[in-house]
Amino acid sequence: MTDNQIPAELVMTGIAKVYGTNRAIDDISATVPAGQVTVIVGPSGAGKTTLLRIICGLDAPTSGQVHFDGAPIDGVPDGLAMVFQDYSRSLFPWLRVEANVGFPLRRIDKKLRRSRVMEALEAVGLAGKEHLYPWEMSGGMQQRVAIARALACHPRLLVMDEPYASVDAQTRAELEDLLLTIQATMKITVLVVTHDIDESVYLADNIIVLSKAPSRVSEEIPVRLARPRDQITTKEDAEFIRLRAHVLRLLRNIPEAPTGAGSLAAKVTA
Amino acid sequence: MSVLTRAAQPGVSASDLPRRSRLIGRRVVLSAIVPILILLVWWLGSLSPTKGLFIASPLATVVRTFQDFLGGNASHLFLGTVAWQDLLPSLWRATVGFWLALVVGVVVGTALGVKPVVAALFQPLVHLGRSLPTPALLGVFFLLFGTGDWPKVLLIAFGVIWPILFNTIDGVQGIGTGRAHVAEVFKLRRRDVLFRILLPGAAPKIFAGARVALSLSLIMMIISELQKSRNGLGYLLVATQRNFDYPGFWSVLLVLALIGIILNIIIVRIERRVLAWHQGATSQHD
Amino acid sequence: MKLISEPLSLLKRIVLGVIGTLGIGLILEVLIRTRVISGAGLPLPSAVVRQGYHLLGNTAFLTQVFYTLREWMLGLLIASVVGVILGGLMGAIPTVFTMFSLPVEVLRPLPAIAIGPLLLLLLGTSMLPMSLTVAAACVWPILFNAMYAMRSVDPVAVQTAKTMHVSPLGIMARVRLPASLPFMFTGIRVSASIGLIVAVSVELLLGSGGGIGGYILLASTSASNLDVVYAATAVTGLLGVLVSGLFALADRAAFGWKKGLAQ
Ligand SMILES: Nc1ncnc2c1ncn2[C@@H]1O[C@H](COP(=O)(O)OP(=O)(O)O)[C@@H](O)[C@H]1O
Ligand SMILES: [Mg+2]
Repeated sequence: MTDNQIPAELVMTGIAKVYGTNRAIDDISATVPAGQVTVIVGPSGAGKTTLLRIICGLDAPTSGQVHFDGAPIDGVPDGLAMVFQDYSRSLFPWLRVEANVGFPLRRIDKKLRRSRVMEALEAVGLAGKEHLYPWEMSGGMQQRVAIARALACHPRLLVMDEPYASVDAQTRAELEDLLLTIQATMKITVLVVTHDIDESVYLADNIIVLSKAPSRVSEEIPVRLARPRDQITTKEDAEFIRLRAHVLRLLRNIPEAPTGAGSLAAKVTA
Repeated sequence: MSVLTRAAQPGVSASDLPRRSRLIGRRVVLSAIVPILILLVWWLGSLSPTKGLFIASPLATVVRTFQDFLGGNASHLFLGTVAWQDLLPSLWRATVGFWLALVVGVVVGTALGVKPVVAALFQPLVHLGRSLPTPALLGVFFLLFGTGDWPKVLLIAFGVIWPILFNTIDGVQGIGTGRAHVAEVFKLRRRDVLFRILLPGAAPKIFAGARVALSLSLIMMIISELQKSRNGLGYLLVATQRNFDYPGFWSVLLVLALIGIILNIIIVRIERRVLAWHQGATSQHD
Repeated sequence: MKLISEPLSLLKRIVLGVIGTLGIGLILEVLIRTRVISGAGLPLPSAVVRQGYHLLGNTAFLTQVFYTLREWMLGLLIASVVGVILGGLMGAIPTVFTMFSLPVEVLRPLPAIAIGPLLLLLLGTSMLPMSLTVAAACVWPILFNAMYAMRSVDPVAVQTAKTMHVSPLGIMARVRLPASLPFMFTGIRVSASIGLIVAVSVELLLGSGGGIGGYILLASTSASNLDVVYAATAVTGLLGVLVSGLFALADRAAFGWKKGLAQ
């Protein structure tokens, strides 16, 4: 395995998903460009998790197709790693941190596995914690372990489902910056789902805004804020403030205001 | 909350019906395989030249069960002589023993459970009781309580009370201080605390204990009839063997299995009803 | 009205337990000695304790104790293997569940003790039929715990492994099985205490003279020996308490991570 992998591109065309009589996703077509951070934002129940499950090949769409680097996906694509929202359920409590991070690397030689585990833990700032059990750690640290486990696979596409929804605000800011640093150094494609508007603007190169279920793409918004981003200065930027107001209007179905928006609540109420 | 949209319902299409009935057919076939294999082995065993002597064939067993247990006329409620002589007395003793244990176990368990100090005083003995091989006390119970039904009933009760007692204490103590504070804040009366918080809260545990006790009570019922007994299913198990009456022996086994199944169905029904009430009642308090 | 109180500390409970046990023994002793309660065959605590102490030095008795222990262990082992494998498969594979659910529902309520005599007839007088009877009683809690545990493994954990290209067999071995082990062990713990009772019962029932049950059977033929019966029963009970304590310790050591499971 080489460390200089080419980031992957993802194309969704006409995705729809129906559960019994419940139409969760109506019609979604969008592109996740290689080497960039794409954020999907949408209200609760819009089918964001469902969409990610389809992208990961865990679930088949009722109609439509997903192409991973040009090839239609059928099963979990190679080079994809997923971070689930609920770290307490996706980390294995019977394994220590080291074994959790090494879990997907079963087929790799033991020495190499250890070095890759250590490298991944280093990248998320958890060096020296490999002998703890996940449940002995704080929520933020557990989610770092989950990210390290995804990174240890050397993915070309990192998919995250509301990764920071269950950690406190301070930790959340740290983890957002961590993700951006990792993306910049490892040059991977990142797809994040969130319902936090500030987070979506802060992280993204492109935002895909979904409507309520049955969901469609309301708008694809390119974000041209400078990188590296900063929790204080980026969020003071007039462009940041304009974008978050714009996304919030889309989500709330409010027509665009002629002048710059004042202080709006930053979160969608589900 | 998500909005349920009813657009584009797939519904049940015509091609679904044969598929569904095929699935049901598959289930029936699958669930029949193992029982048929068991019956086959049983039947082949009964034909075996060496062991066949001890194994009544499935057919002989069923026929014998009908004769013994269901051969009576209308004046006997269509129950056979064996049912009147052995089955009903056994069930009677087991029932009395079980209910005695249930009532005493829940009352004493609740009393101990609400007083941690008293519970702690008795805890080692309750643990010991739970591990005691009560069947060993069979002879002692006859000596202590004379002859007749009482020693047997008391042995059954003594044998099955421990899981009920243990689980009641555990259940009552596990109510949690959260609900205790609710009781205090609302200044509930003792009676209300007992019947609306303690017992409903402990009900799932009490039921778990009662289930263990119920299956133990069948074992204790059999054990209690092994000595100084003139009737009962346990007595019959020994007597049929002593008389080399193996079809009779097998029919007792069959009847025991049937009793177990019926008891299980009954307790599942009761549990569903009582615990549903429990959920409704506690959700008002939390 | 205050009916529910805070739990006590461990030390307090131990001290109170010792006081309670000694106190109850003392009260019983006084009541019997002063003939407030009287009758043949009442257990005088001091006599039972003295007998129990003698029994612990009695090799004939100890031989029978070990016989029962081996019989019980063998039964528990058989029950664990069968219960974990069959229950696990029933929980993991719907087809297996469909195939075995009817026989399991029919056989479970059959009082295990009743098949003891039958097994003795078929297999001859030895430890095996008794152990099999113990196994027949012990298998159910293990089987049901294994089944429910396998069935309710967290789907997020399974999906996590799927996104890592773990094969279905790998998911079984590396996710479902480890996640279910603590509950399977809980089943084994429950069965362990049932098993000891059944082991002694089947010895009494078969009356072939082996084990603690056989010893008690012999002792209870003469009324003068009742203290021995009480003592032997109590010693067995203590053994059971000891064993469930050991199982609890093993549980905590091996499955301390259980608290990390969601819910
Ligand atoms: N496995 C499933 N079976 C039936 N309905 C489902 C299933 N998964 C999700 N849904 C439904 O699909 C809709 C979208 O759910 P989800 O993708 O979890 O939304 P989000 O992640 O955006 O909050 C919801 O209405 C939910 O009830
Ligand atoms: Mg979601």
